[in-house]
Amino acid sequence: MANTKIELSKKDMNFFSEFSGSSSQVNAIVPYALLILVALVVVGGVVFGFLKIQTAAVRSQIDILNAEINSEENQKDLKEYTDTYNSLAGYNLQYYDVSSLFSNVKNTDKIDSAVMDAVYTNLPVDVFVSDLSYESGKVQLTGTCDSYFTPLSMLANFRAVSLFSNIEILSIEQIDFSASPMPPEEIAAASKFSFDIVCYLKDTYPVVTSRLIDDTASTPLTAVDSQTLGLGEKYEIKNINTYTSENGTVYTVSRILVNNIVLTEQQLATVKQNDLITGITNAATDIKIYYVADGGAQS
Amino acid sequence: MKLTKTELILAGGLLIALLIVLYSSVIYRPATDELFKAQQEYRDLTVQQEENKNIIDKVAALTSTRDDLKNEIATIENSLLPELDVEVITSRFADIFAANNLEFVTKITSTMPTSIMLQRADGTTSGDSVEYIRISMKVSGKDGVTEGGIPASGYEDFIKAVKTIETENPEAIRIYSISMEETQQGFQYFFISVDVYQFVLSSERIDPIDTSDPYLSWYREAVATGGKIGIPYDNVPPSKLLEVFFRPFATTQVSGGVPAAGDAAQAPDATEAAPTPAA
Repeated sequence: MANTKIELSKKDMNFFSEFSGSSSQVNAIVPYALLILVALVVVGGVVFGFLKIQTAAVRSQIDILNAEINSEENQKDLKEYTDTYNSLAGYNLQYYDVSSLFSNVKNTDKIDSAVMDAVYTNLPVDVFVSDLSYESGKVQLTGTCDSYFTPLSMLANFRAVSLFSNIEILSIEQIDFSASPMPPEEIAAASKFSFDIVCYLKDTYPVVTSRLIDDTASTPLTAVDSQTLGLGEKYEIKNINTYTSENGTVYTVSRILVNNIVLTEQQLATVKQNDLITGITNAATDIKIYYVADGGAQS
Repeated sequence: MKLTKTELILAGGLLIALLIVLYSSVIYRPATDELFKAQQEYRDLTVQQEENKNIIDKVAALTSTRDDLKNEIATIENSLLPELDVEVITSRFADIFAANNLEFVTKITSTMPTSIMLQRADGTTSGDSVEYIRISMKVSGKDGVTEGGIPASGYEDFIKAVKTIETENPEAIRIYSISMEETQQGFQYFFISVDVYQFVLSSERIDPIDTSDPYLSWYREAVATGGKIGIPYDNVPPSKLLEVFFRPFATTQVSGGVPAAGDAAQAPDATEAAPTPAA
């Protein structure tokens, strides 16, 4: 028992001795530990402070940018852009509409006084035109002359100036004076033949080209291009492959319809290769070229 | 328990590491996160500002493009008339004929406006359209002999007038047909049919209407008003006044005429129609 007591007391003493022994070691390390700790605190504080200063600086820049972005002037300029852009889209559609309508008007038939000038200057001297009409590409001349070949000479004159594409002689006929009340001397001076001739001008047809975005609304990209060509004349529509809109967007051709018939892959490939649509005018031709925005995405 | 120096260093290191972890997670990480977030926000705003700047820089070019487009539209709009005033247009044609020695207009007709609508590629119908009327006129040439018919005028004068009409507004005023009819009396009648087109726009015109256009504004002096509906007795030529004519109001009917076959059925009975004389 006594031994045990001594052991315990020794142990207690040893504890203190251990503690005191450890304390001395700690004492030796503490300054270093404190130094490291202080250094860490300082570094941590400096880093934190730096971060906070940086953040504050960036925030300040953000505030400046936000102020600029949200400034009345900036917003006004942006609104002006939006308004201008929207109005441009509206005007673009209006341009397409009025140009299409105008194209319809331009392609309606009207007389050309130059045709009548050519007719007038090519009338043989003994011809008296008693009735004349000019309408829908058709000139009808009725009159009298001294001989049956006078109207033929007149038609030869017309042919020489390539005035008409077709001519129909309704009649060239000698006048029967047997029932005429005119005295013989008047009959002698009168024209001996009558004629009735219809002359047809060359047929003309409109060739109308529209460039549209290949979307559900078929939004027009620009005004329609319209030309009136004579039968058999060749038409050529150039710069097919791409179209650059007013805002700089580049569009690439996706498909083409001619009189509502889609060009086949092969036909489209040929068009793309030549960057050209061409054909012979033999009827009214409506060409619709559809485009997609570059990259294939439909706008 | 006796700790060795190494263990103490390790324990201290552990403590410091713990402090560093604590510092990192509680102080440093939120601060850096905040900074990165702010920097990202700044970058986003810079990009946005740059985009805005690019957009704003485009305004001038876009405005120019829009103005060009407006000019193009205005040019087309002005190619047709803004309205169809049949009296003004016809009067202008008559003036052109008169200026070419064809003063005698003998017949005028016009049609109701015909609309041309536009179906767009997507199947919708445009709000804009075109309308046209056809005005036909018959004018007489002169023989150069008969009083009032001097000097002579004929085809050459007519075609000059046609050329004037043809060129004054070549898109809106389109001559549909011309013809001539010989009277065999030394003068001719000339006919002209003209289609006159106008735009009917759903939006406001870009250019205001030019009221000085001779096809748009009535330029003749106003006539005195006071016309009558019904021809009074004094205005009936005496040669046209019939003595034998049923007058419901006549106190004494004049009879003795032989009524036409249709008249008997239509004419009311005089005794029934005559008002009862006052007592």
